[in-house]
Amino acid sequence: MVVFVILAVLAIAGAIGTISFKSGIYSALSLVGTLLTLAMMYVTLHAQFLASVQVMVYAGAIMVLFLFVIMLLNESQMSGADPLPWVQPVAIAGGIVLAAALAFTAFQFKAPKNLETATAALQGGTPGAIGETLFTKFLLPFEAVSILLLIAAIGAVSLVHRQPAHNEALETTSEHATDNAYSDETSSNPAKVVA
Amino acid sequence: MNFVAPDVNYYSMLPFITVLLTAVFATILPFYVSRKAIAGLSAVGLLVALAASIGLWNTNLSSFYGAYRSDNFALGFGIVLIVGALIAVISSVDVAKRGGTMQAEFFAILLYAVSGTMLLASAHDLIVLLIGFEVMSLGVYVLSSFQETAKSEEAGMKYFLLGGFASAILIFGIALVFGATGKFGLEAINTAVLSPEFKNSSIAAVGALFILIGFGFKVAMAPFHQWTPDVYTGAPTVVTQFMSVAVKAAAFAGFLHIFGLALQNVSGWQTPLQFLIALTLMIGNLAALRQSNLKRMLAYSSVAHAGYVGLAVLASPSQGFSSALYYLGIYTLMNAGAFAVLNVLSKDDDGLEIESLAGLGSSKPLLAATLTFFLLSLAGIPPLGGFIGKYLIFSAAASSGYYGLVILAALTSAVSLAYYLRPIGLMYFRPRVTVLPDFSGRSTRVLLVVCAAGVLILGLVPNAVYGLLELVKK
Repeated sequence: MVVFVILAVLAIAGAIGTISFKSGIYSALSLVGTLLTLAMMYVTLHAQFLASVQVMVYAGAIMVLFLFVIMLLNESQMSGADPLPWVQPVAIAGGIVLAAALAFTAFQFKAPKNLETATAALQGGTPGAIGETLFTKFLLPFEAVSILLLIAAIGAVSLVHRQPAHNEALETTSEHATDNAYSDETSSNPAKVVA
Repeated sequence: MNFVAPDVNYYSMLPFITVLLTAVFATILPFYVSRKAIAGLSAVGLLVALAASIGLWNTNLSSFYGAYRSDNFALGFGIVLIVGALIAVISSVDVAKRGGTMQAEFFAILLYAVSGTMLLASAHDLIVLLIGFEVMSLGVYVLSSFQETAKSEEAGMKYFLLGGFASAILIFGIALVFGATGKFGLEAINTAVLSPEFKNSSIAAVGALFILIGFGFKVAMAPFHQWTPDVYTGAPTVVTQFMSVAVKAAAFAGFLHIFGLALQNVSGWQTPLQFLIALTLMIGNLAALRQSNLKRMLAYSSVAHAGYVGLAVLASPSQGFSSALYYLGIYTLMNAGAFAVLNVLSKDDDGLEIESLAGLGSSKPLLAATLTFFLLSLAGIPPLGGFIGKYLIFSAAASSGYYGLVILAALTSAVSLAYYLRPIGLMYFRPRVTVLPDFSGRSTRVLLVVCAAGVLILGLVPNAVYGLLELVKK
């Protein structure tokens, strides 16, 4: 219980830091703190595999990408005047009310499952138990997530590779026609007829 | 460790797999064949999936221990979604004529999004449902910003940021419902809620409210509708057409499933939903009255229609499911039809001013006549389909005792006559002032006639199709 309270306070402190630091780097590092304390919480719940994945994927890979993006962007762009100053007090008040309501309901929680059997089913949080559940009971979500990743990748590529809208097309078609695999129609652009 | 092979029934997933395979081919083939061929391939794949859905009717197959079910509810929604996607594919052919070429990835992403919508409609498990929801959303975020214009980019970015926020709330809600019941399956959640040992009713109620917000955002219910006019106006018209019918239908399928099957015995969400519906009906219809751009007017009209279908979520599942499906089927034909007319009449993706429709009745009789059909049906004028759809939903809600909301819905739908009839009046009773372009090809003209015929048939002989839908009831 003591461990949980310490970890919970750290996680909440990190979350508050994420949204209240003015500098993007400090925010991202506070988020790392929250993610790491969350991983420690998984360890206290005997979910060691999940904890190591949490550290590797979130605190490692994803946060490194976050930091890259923040460092590549010019930081002065992010700290301008607040265009909607009235939102902040309303959002703080709303957040406190929501957090209080959630905390109130959290204290009424009664475990729906027998905790001893649930802990036994975890088998100490080893990859074997997780793998078996993932490829039997949760096979459909596991496979469906691959569609999600695929559409994200294709979507990102096609957004970078967009063809310009019709008016700009007139200036840039000639450059695009050479490097674009399916620009055979663009080069004989009907936009010219319309415009 | 004793390994149990998972229960996979490919046959039950035939429509879904067909759409997915077509999407994969549409991703790879643009390197080798023309854009038009990809459009044709997408249409053929969707038609095969449509045939597969009809073939599976009444078979009630399921897969993955019931997490994926091809019951008549899922198949009916699947047919509606496939028809919506087909209309978008056919309409996209005309976009090339006005120069705003849709690049070939458009079809791939559209088809992935359709597979997500079908997963959402067939899922009986909160995790699968959420993944379908996200596949659909990601696809539509990308499609919204497909034109390299400031407006389209703003639309995509706005939709992505707000949509991500709404998804986070939805996931929070799902986590709370799982925490309260310990189950992900929709029926299992209901069983857990009804069992005498259930003690987490307040957590389940908070979770239900969060899920309500997530879906309220996706179906554009007030006050979570603020993104709708900007995104619908800024996105390419073909994408708006797809969003306004297929995404809405799929989101309602999930909405009905979660609240009709899993959470119907959890208290606490019914009253907020009534407020949301009342607000949606008023804001959608009143704001549509003040629009001068046809595309923005149709955006607000789709907010209003989310309010009408929302009544079906309140109604008892036995009536609500089939009436919502019937309504969304008709809505797909009439709303996508109206957007198809808008698409061929506008010179770019900014839509067109309603005033510029003046005199269209004599200059372009077919487009004017079909648009009249769709607008009259959207307004709910008998004997067109929109009237029957509204009647079924209103009677389903009334038999569950929501008389006040039904009266409000009927009143606001009378208000909606004003903005639906104005373009019709302009088209037929005013002389022409602006010359509108006409990009309609033969395929679009056939499509418009088929949609108009569908709206008329579904309105004239509702029993022919609604009789089939009675089977949607469990």
